[in-house]
Amino acid sequence: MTIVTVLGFVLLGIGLWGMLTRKNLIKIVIGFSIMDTGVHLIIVSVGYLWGRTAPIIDKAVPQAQAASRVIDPIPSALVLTAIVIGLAVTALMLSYAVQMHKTRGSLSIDDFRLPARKQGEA
Amino acid sequence: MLSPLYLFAVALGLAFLFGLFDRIGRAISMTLLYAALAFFVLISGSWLVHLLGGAAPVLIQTAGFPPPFAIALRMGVEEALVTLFANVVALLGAVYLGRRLKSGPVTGIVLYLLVVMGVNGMVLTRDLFNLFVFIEITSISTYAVLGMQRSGASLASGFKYLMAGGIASTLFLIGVIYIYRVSGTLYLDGIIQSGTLFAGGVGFLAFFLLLASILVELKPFPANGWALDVYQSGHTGLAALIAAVNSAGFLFAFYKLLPVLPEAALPTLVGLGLFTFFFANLIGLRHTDARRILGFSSVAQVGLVAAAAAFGRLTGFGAVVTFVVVGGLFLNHLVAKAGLFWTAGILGPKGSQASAADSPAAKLPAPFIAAFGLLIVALVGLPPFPGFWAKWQLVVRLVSGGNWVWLGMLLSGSLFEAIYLLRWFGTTVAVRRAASAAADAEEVTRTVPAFVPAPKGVELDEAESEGSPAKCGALILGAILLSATGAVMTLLSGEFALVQMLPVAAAVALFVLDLLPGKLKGVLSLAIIAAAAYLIVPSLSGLRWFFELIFLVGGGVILISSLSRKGRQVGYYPLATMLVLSLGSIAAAVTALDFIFAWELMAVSSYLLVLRGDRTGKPSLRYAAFSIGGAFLLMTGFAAAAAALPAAVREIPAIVAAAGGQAVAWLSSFVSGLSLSGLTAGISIDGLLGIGNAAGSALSGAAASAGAAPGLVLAAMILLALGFLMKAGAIGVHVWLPGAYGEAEDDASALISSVMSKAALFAIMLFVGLLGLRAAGVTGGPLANGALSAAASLPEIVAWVGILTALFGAMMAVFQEDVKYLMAYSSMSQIGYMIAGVGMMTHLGWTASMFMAVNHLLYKGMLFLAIAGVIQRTGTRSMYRMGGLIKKMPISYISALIGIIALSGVPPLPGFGGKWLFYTALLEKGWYLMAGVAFFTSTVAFLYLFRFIYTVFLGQLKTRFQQLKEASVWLLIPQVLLIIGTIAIAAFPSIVLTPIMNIVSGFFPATVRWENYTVISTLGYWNGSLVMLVTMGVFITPLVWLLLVSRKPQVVKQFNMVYAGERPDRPETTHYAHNFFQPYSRALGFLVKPVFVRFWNAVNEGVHSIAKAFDNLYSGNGQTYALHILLYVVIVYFIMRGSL
Repeated sequence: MTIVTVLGFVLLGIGLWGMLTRKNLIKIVIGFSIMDTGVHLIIVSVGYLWGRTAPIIDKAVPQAQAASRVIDPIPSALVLTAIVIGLAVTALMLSYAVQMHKTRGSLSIDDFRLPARKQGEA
Repeated sequence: MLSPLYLFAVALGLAFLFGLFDRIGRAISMTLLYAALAFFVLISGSWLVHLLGGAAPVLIQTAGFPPPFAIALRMGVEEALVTLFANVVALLGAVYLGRRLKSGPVTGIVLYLLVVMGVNGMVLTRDLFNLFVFIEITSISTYAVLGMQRSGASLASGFKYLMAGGIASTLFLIGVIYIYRVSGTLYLDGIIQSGTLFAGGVGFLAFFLLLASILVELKPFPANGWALDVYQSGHTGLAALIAAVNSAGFLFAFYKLLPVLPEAALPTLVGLGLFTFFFANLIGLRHTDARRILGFSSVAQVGLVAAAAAFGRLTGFGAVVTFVVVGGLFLNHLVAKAGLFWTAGILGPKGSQASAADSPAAKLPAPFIAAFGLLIVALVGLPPFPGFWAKWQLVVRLVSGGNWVWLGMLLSGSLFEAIYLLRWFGTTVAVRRAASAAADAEEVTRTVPAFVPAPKGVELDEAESEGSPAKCGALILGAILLSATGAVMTLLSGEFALVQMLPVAAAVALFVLDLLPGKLKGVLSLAIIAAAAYLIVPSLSGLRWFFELIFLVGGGVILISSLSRKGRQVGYYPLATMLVLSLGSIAAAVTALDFIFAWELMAVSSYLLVLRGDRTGKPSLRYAAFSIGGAFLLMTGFAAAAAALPAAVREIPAIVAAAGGQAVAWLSSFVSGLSLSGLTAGISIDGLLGIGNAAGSALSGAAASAGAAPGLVLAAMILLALGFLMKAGAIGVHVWLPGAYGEAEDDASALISSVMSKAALFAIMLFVGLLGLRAAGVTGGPLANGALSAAASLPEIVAWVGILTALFGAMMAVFQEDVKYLMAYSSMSQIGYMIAGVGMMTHLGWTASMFMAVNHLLYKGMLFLAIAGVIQRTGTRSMYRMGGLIKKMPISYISALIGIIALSGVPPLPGFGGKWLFYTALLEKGWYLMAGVAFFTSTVAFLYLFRFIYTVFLGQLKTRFQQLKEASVWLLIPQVLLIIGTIAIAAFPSIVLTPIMNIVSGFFPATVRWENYTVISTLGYWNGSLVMLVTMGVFITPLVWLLLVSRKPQVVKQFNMVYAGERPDRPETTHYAHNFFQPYSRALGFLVKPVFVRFWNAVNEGVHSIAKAFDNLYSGNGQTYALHILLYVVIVYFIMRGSL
């Protein structure tokens, strides 16, 4: 457990707390973004090995020694994908927030309890 | 074969190019979308054919490396099947959404295609991180396409979905990275093979997080509020996509992950799935909004499929069983749910709640309603659809594994689901009927044009929701697809004998011919039934032969009356024919599965027939609820019997071999190495009852003591008895009966009451009587045991239930104003006698019961048809509004008169013989108290019969009925046939009694004997022919004498009467026939207080308030829903951890 991993989990917790407690839609999105960043840190920290170099096989790292001298490249590759996906989700959430503000003139999540509330009276 | 990789290439390529093509024209983009989806169908379809033909599953490598160095996709039979169905439904869904995709921005088309591609990827990939990518592609495209709707509700629910999805992805990512850290690979098969993932605690936690992410996406109760809101407020086309296609991806991902888990973790998953199934359906009961209930149903069904998959993994289903159970439930849900969401869309935003005037239901064509009904029936799990076969196999396995809690959750959840789905269907049909009736009336009177209120408060942007041909077409194609799948499952389950398939085949054929005129269809129906009788009856013997005659001949004669109907009668003949033929299949059933199959077909067809009546919203729903609940008891009972009496089980392969196996041979030509072993659901009825064959006789010997479990035998018998008593309308569970018999169309009432009611009698004879006999036979052997002797005394309890049913049925009949309800309660009462006869378990008791069954068929047919004619002419069902019809409808009067004489048991008609046999049997048995109650009941019967004949046919003719004509000739013909039958049996009872006694002698030693025309019992004798002659003499002699001596009889005119000078407050109180038996009501009315109706209403209320309590979980707040998800994951973690 490195400090980066710990930091990742702390961010995850903060982000989640934000998602669950903030009423403002934009703050919820920010919460998600923080949580996502925490996850990315965790992924990177799992793949990183202390004292090794970038996983690029060239003159500095001959092929024969690659396995013992470079970090694991897989988590880095994964985190790139995860970042892209997280970006897409964040962008979508923000555009939802904008559209929701347009329909109700409010950014408070309490104003968007439809349709369950309406149904509850049935 | 085309590589599945083309699927992704085409989808991604088109996604980029759509923007370009759209510049040329939207038509091009739409064509390309359909072409791409059709291409998807082609790829998965061709792989399915290829793989079923015997090819090995293929691992498709990407990037030129084998796994784990690159992502690998797998294409096996399961993958091909799931993607095929998902793609077909997606294609139909694109047709449904056609107009919307056409008018919206091109992004809609792009996103739709990407969702479908993502789902295909989720199914095919074997790499965990790649699975994440496809999940995100699917989810993000879904969020985006949902966000294209601009209404507040759909945006709000979309945002909740995003939050839930965000949390799920976080769990997945953390899980996946730690799995990688522990196992060093993300290749699923590598993880499964190495089996070292769970060596340390981290591995389990990591895998759990990944699994939890998938679980959350499967929308488990109670962490599914977001999903329900999406289902309710999203466009129905998108809700269908999410409920069907997206769920396919997530379910398959779940299915893929199961092999990683240790066996000890699986029961938790089964439990969680069924927990969701039960609670989602329970809460669904509270809702009436079509989309909301479909949301609950979707959530429930996905939970059920997941539970079935985990259960299959736990108990080791073979390939065919997995296909029938997991595949059956899944495909059923996939197609039916998509179709029903489309239906909800076509019916409009208000769904079924629309008032009659502005409901689009009235304008929709009959095939639409048929497809709607088909999908509902399929989703409820009725035959011949995949859900039925799946549920049966699942129930058998749950019972044999002793998983009673799971079974209870499965069946009660199914019952709740059936109730709210059928309620929706029933209301829609009622609205449609009312609307079309209103339209007809308007056309005739040409009054003020109807005011059609504009749809107001429609926040959901589906205002243009009326059914375009394309939308309806998508729906109908979906229904056809589901029916075809059902047909394959039917073949696999061994149900392909002519007699079993005939009801469905005839209904389909008649429905296809529905454009023909009604009379022609009626004749065709009669011809089909006659042909069936000709083919089937001679092949049977004993009880089966006897009841087959009652069902097919009796049903045919009564169906003649339907020729009095005018117009095309859309849907009537397919249903009526299906009902009669399914009764035939019940009598001919060889295995328990045949029996349940036919039994449920009967339930479906009779429910739909009842639904055709005018005021049948509640009664038909009640009927359906009791029918389906009863059928579940029967399924469990049969399964328990099979588990308790292992010697009686026959495997389906044996049946296949016996039937020649053409159907399976036909299937085998597509599927190499098809083996049906494992489908051990074919429980031979004869084997179960110990009739004839070796399997039965073995039970009393060594096999019995080796395998039979007395407690389970008792449980089986009680469940079966309860299930059949429900169908018989026995006291306590009779609350559905008056409504169903009374509110059906008038000639359908005759069919249901006089013919269908005998099905329960037949079943009670077999599964209470003969099974009880068998239990009694075993009692003395090595199994002498309390449970078995209790089982042997069950018939006596049943006899008491029968007698009390007879008593209270008659009591309630006395106080009815509605003539059909009077007859309905009368039927209940008469069936009670027959049940009591069976319960006596003696030769004479059974003889009496069967003789009364024949009589009841004849006289109740007459009475109901006579009433049908009267109602047709007078337009009312209240007896006090009739009166004096004897002169206007003399033939109906004679028919009614003969009917009541036969019913009341007065000589010379055969009712007397029936009663005589019945009382003799009771006295012979020594059950004097029961005999006393039966005597009293017969007296009560006089009261209601007198009221009936007096108030309807005698007394004063109403002025407005002066011009009344006799009933339609088509109603009179069957009545005359039945009268002839009654008189013939009265004169020569031996023509019916001899075969009956011979049949019964097979089970009980005879205590009566024949001497010429006389039956002699230990207590006395009865010569029916002589009684006939004497009675004729007694009646004819005074008649002749009176004619001779009365020279000048004064004819009493209608108004020749005295008024008592009182002015009544309400007009009907002047009528002597109103509240006819008020004095008796004061004296004995407390006996007919609707205690049972109140009881069942209280049950209903109770269930609803529990549902309401749980429903309050759904606050509508996205953050609460997110919290539910977190808590759910944590709790499930501890449960699963604890189970390891």
